[in-house]
Amino acid sequence: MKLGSACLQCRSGKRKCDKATVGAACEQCKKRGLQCSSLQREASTTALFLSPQNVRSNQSSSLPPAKVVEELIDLYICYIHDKPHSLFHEPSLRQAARDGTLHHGVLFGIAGLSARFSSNLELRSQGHAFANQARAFVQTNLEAICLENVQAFILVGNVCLAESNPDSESLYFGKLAPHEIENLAND
Amino acid sequence: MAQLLQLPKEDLVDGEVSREVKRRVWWSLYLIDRWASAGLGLPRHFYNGGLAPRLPMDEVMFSQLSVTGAKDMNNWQPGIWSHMISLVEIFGHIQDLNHELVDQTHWDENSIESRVLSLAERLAKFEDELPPAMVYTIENLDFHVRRGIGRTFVALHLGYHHYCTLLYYQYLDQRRPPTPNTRMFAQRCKHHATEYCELIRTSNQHGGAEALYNIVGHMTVVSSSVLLHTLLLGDDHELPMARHRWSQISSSWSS
Repeated sequence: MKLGSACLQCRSGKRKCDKATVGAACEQCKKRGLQCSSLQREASTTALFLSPQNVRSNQSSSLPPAKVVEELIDLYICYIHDKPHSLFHEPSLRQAARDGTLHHGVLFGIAGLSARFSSNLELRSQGHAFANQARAFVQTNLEAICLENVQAFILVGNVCLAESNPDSESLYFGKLAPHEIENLAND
Repeated sequence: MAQLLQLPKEDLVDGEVSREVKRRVWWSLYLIDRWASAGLGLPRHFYNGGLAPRLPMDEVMFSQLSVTGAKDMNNWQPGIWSHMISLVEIFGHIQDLNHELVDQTHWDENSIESRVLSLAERLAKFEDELPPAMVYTIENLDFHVRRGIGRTFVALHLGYHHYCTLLYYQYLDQRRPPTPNTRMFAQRCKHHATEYCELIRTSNQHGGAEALYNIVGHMTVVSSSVLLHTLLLGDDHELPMARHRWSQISSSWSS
């Protein structure tokens, strides 16, 4: 994770970023009232080192508003669902999102893939932050063997593909292979 | 992880919706395994002949299935995804052949040609055996767009033309022995690359059908490279059409 580079908002606005201290918004974003990605970085970096319980409470506090989740799921269903993978029963997915019971790895994985299709520029710029949250989540919950984790893994692997990051893509897709799981169990 | 979850085994405690979700996740992993082994050089983990769940059902029927309601599975039909799975199985063999060619220093032209012919037959059989509603026509595209699965239908046919292009791609090399078959293969390569570009264009203009999932970029690079090859090295009569397609497909690069 590059911590020293400009924040996403400055990068997309082609502004000189003063590279705020991690966890605080940069001056440019403060001036413009933007949600600086330096804030998100802190959340996703620390999430890697926290215990699963803390991660969950940490992430539930940073869930996007319901309306935004709905838009992100719409975009996912429209452009991604049933194309490179087929992972969900659409009505159940939407219901879980409405009830707030959607697995966070799945939710952020979907958001990380679909934010790029939004016509809302600010939401679009949050795609990386969503993807990082999905990554942090699956990494922390690596040993929890459940269907939702497999779905989240596939989504995160696809995010790496979309970001042209083949090494990480191999890592995530490779983790789904039987022998990798045996290795994990032996650790 | 998929193995530990015993995804390929049907669990009767699950309702039909859960069972189908698990089947689809398992088959997604199967496809990823085929694609990732090709793109990333990872070893394959899913072998043909092993335990595999039933093929996925019709997508619209599945999305209308209710979690609690009574199930009426009498009019079960295979979904677009079940055809995708048969297609990607053939792709695995095409990829094996191409990998072997890269590794070998000496090429036995006869054996290569017979393998290409046999894979070509499998692809032709795949296309022949598609149910009428799955064959690519504008009417069928309209039909699937109306059902809300136009993009999935386009993805199947983009895949088909892409894999055909890959099978014949090696024959663009003009140093290969010029037999009637090799000339035909080179023509087929150009044909499928052109059909691919045409489908990208049609699906972009159609509405409800544009292909924007991430592997489309890669597949478009391949078909564009075939066009570029024709532009640079093609016969005079091929040039106007290639130039026309090139201007169409290169416009999709900026978007």
